[in-house]
Amino acid sequence: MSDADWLETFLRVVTLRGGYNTIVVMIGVSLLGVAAGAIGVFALLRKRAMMSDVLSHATLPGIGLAFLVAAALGANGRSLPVLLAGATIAAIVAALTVQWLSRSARLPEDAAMGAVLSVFFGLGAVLLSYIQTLRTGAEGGLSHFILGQTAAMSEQDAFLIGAVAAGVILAIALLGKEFRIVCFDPEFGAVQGWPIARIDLMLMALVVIVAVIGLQAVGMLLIVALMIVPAAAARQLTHNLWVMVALSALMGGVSAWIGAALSATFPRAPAGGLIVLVAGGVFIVSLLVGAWREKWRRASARSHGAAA
Amino acid sequence: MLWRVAERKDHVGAQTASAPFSTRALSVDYGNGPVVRGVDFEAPHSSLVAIVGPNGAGKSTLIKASLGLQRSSAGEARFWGRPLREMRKRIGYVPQRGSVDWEFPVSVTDVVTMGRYGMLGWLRPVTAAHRRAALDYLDQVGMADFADRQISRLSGGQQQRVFVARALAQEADLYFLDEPFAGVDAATEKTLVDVLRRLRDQGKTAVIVHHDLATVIDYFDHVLLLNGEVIASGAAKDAMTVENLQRAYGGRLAFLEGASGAAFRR
Repeated sequence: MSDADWLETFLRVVTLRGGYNTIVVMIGVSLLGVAAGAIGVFALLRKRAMMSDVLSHATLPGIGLAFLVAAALGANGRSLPVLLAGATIAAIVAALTVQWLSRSARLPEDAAMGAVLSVFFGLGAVLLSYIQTLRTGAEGGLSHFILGQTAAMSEQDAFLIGAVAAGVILAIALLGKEFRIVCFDPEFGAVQGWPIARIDLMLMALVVIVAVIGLQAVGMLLIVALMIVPAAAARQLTHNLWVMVALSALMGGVSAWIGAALSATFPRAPAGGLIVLVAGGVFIVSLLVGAWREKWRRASARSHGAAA
Repeated sequence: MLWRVAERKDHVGAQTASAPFSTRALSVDYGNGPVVRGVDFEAPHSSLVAIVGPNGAGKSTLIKASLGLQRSSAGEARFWGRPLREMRKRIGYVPQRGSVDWEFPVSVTDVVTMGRYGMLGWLRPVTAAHRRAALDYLDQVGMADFADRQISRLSGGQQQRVFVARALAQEADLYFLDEPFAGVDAATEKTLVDVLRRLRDQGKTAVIVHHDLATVIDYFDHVLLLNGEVIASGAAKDAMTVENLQRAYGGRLAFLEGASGAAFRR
């Protein structure tokens, strides 16, 4: 592909002139980015970034097992709802294992998380390579769940992802107040009678939902980056929580949009990598803008003080 | 049902029914021996109550266990004779200032409106009326000019005032404050004392973990002197005797006899 060719392809896709299927995929993946950016703010502020990573990595054995079970029952192992159900169950088992390990094995929580992340991911890798040896002909797409692949996404998949992402965005909008108190001062919330553990559970459930629907487009290795990186970028630009949520959602959506268009342009490159690279670029720009603004604020405060 | 019958038989129970805050045989144990041991205590109506004792005496633990933030190993806390879950709306809380991240992206008003969350149900947003109430309470602690300020740009004393305004916004009848005077400037200390006295004059009760022995008798009506177990409790003047303080603090209090003995003999 010559330079002019890929640029033309990219521009066509990014401006939604890439055909119906591409348009549906772009919109679905962008909604995913918006949901990821929004929930990422709360995962970041509640200091659950590492836990989110554990849960997303832990989905891999769930996908492998769901494929095997479905294939054994004679169903289509590659059906997206089946695989996502397996992924969700595996993430829940991982969360319970972390909780159990740090409580009863007297391990520091980060050690428990590290152990669960690597063991689950290792199990998933073994299962996936075993599935490749089965040569059922249906296993081809499974490895895309690791680094993401938008090219193989069907219109139905994109609809499912977009619809679930929209639901997550609605849930975050409704539960904003509850999430805020849990992130800022859970003990104060508890004294008022808010069930902190249950609200935490809802927060992590939304993280898992976004991680699971993001597996196909972004992949389990990088889906959490699509939550945390836009949130960290937004944090550089504002001290207002709702502005931060809006900015992070916007940045997540834009990163997913541009990344998905790049993925359509370069179908061989992993979509997750492209999307997260765009998000990383947005983060660097935000960091520079934030630092520059802070410097400017201090300088103006100083000159103001000197004048007074 | 069974415990209710048992309580009626116990006439001490009948007495505590009216106290805004009482504990019976309350103990907390993290597994390395009890931190709080069998505390029986009653806070009188319309009073400012200090919980005083050395570091590690279990002062904060007693409050947190009473408010359900930490698990108690035995005993119970009651509020107007009822269990916590029935009385939450009448209880305000000021946690230790260091317990939250002051870099959190919220404004002063945002923090104070959190005091209203207990009145709001699930999914109900904060309304303009709640924000107006928040401004009123900020004004009471002298922070009205800081309403839109980011909390990361407050001094320690200002942070404490915001926390107290948030508790006032709860519009409670019983307040718990955990070390509200720790590390604050003199102006803030005076403001907070005025706020607390106003609460008492409105018939409310405040239970305060306090560390400055020199001001206890000035600021408080009632004292619980604690060192794991109750050393003394009662009217501030009666409880704060040099003998009691020595029992609570042991050798660590040698300086008190000379330096501030006067403060305790008034």
